[in-house]
Amino acid sequence: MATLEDLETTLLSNPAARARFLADTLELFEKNGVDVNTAFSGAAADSFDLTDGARFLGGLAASSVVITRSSTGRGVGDLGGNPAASTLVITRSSTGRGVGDLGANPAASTLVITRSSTGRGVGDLGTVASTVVITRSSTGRLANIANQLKQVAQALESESLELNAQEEALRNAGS
Amino acid sequence: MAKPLPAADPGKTRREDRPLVGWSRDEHRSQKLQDNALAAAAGMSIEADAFNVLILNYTMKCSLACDFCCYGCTPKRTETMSLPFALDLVDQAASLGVFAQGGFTGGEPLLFLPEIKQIAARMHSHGMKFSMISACDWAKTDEAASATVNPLADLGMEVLSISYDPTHGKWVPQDNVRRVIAACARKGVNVVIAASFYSAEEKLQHVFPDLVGDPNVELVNRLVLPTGNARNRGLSPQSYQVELQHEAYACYKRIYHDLTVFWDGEVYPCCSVFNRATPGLSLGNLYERTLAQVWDRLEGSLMFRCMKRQGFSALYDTVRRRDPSLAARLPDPGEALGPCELCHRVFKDEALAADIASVFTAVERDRIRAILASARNVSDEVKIRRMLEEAIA
Repeated sequence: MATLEDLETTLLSNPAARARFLADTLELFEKNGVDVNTAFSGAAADSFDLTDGARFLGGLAASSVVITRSSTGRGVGDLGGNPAASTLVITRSSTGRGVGDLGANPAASTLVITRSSTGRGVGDLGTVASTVVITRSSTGRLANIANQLKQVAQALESESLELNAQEEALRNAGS
Repeated sequence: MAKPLPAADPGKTRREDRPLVGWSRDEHRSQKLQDNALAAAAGMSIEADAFNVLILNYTMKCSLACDFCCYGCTPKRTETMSLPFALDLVDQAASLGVFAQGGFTGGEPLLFLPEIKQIAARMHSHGMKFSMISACDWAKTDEAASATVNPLADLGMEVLSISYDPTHGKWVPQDNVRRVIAACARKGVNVVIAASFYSAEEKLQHVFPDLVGDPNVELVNRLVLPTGNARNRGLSPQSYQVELQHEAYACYKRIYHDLTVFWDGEVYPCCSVFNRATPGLSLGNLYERTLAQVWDRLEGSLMFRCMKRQGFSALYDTVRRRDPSLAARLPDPGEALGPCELCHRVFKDEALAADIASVFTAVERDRIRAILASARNVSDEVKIRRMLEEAIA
């Protein structure tokens, strides 16, 4: 039986396996029961991307609030076939700015809302939503985000998302 | 109008006669990482069509013979995709689960309307919409325009991109374009008119002032790039008298991919006009590899992610850090007419492309070691073994 070292050597020497591993890392870990949040928290997380494009190679200016709808134990991308999922998770970008920083610049600007479904990109608005991404320009205001959250609620009304609490959370975070 | 060209005869074709690659219907991929990356990438310029597209460059045959055509398409060309191959690719794409749309380009794909309809119907059966690029030489009457547009719209054509500019206009009257726009409007199909001009001053808005503000029509102005016979015209930022921000050059699609397959099975990561002339970008041949294998190669490649998400400056920086002597061989970005030409200049030289790939392979290996080291801190050997076996399988 091959040792772990043998397997690792094979992986490192096999371009196709290497590409597959890099492409599917998060999924592979999740499927095998590894807590990715624990595994890749801290300094190591800054050196490679698993869940965050900005961290993947670093350097991308991000000033986003990302709202993803998720159910326990399932990835965001898996939700397309489960309209009953109801947990709303608010995460934020990796640039060291908290949600509360979003209202810092009073020159309000654009807020873009897109959503995606499994197997489709976020540009495809017409299908069952699995991810709701709210991004704003670098000069957004928190009040605008709250307004746009209401629009998200309207867009997703058939899925009974309870956005009020999240809207309140955003308000609190910004106050 | 230009001197008439001979008719493009779709009965005269040259197609690959090779067995299709075997593939497993269990090969399904997730788009989660891409979506997460997009979510985290706010603040950068993101593609408008934020999804993956499988583009079939169906034929090199075209009714026209534009001097700057990137593939040198003319009525006399015969290379055309085999229909069973195209249908199999659509099935593979649907099985893989990462492509939201299909796309057709050429040449003039609509010279093969019966075949295109069969492929579109297969896409339709999988729930895939599609886009089409055409010069619309076929829209000689209103009836002819509707006869082509209507069935395609019914099969899921979302966007028809019309190539029209002074060069295409030598053979295709403006009236053809207007007929197609009207036919598309009746069927709810969006239209893009894409033009390439030899002057930065020329705009489609001058050619079609009545279409400015039309919500169903997008006008896209580009400069002719040094492709086809235009390679010999000395086109450059200086010749166009334009200032380009080469420090910000990145792929036009930052997160997702326009995977483009040619008639002979060669597949490229984008729909750049330079793709075919850039062998260092080839992802292989889909007569020899499955779409799943090609997808992994593209999505898993650190080099492609760097070019797309961070841009060419980051690629140059990485090469500079790892191998200064190799960095000295990289072309001057300031001489390129945009990111696609810079990419072409870098990757057209297969030896240079291979050396750059080697640098990124080394970075990849370091990254995998870091991932495994992190995993070992929180996981047991059995799980890591299972994970590695899955990756290698």
